[in-house]
Amino acid sequence: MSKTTKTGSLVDAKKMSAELFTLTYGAFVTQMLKDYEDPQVVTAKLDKIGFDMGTVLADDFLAKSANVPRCQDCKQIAEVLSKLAIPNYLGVPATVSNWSSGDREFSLIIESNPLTELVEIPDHLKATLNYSQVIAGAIRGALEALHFKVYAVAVENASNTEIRIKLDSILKDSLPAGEDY
Amino acid sequence: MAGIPFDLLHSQIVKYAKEMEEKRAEAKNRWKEIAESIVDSTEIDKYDQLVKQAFMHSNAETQLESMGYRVGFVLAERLSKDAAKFNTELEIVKFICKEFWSNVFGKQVDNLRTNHAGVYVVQDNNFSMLRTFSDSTQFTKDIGIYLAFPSGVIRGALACLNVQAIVTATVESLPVVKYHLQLAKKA
Repeated sequence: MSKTTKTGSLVDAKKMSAELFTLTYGAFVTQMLKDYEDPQVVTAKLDKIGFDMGTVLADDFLAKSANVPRCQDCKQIAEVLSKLAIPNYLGVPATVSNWSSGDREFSLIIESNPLTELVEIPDHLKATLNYSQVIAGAIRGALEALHFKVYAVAVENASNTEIRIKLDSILKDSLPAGEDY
Repeated sequence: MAGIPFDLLHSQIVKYAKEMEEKRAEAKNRWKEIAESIVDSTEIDKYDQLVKQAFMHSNAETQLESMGYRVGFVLAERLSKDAAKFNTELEIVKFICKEFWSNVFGKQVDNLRTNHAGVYVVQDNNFSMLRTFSDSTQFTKDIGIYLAFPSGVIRGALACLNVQAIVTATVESLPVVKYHLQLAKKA
């Protein structure tokens, strides 16, 4: 509500260091690993947290990009995610590859994932903890807000992060009975 | 990256810390019940996990503050590596208020006062980590927990520059935040 009074003020969000985000996320994951001890539970939690963030990000994205047309198929989703949404919120570009199951499944490759900068994942966690699952969760949350049900999982490769996305179904608007639009 | 995504992450972390506090309180209550009914001491081993949770003495604010401490420590380390040598305590506090503040919170502080006896009052008239709240006095009661993390960041940064301090924050009306830095006397 008060946002209008704040624009043009001294706070420039871009200037806040990306390292702050990276380190904060790192400290958070560390804390969760301490609290839960099971890396798989932590991965699931990260997915849920990403989901919640994603639903809000979808709102923000739509508000700021009025001229992006409605996605009709998976190709377009991949295009918008890799060229607009991810560079916008993560600060780095992503490339689309590995199409399969009749263009319903693809990978987003993030070359220099800011989340994993300054981070070294211990060997005993590598197999069970998906450190960047929060990104996958955010994509799932954002797309679900736009009525695309997808499955997303983040995999840490040697030199990049791969987000595997599979389109499950397009959700139908379920309006309360008796309401017409 | 550091704008909306950070705000969302921060609020998720706060939410998480609150949930964990509730869980610990619950564990404490459950342990109380169990402890009274236990007769054989070997049974205690079964409740290892519960006991651990119940005896963890930290509330949500402490947890957030300690996360902030880690973050602030590392950030200050990275930002200060090219800075000129600090000769006085005041120079360190000035570094925190200028370079560190603008890198981490997006702007410099608006006012810095000191009593020259180890107490500094830092005022930021538009604190970036609270920008998701509307400007008013409406939420000042609930905002405390959102200040735990940034307070930890500042304390961590000071600790990195070899200054031990107690950092507390006060809010009278958003978005103005005042930080009181009470520095420990050098032995």
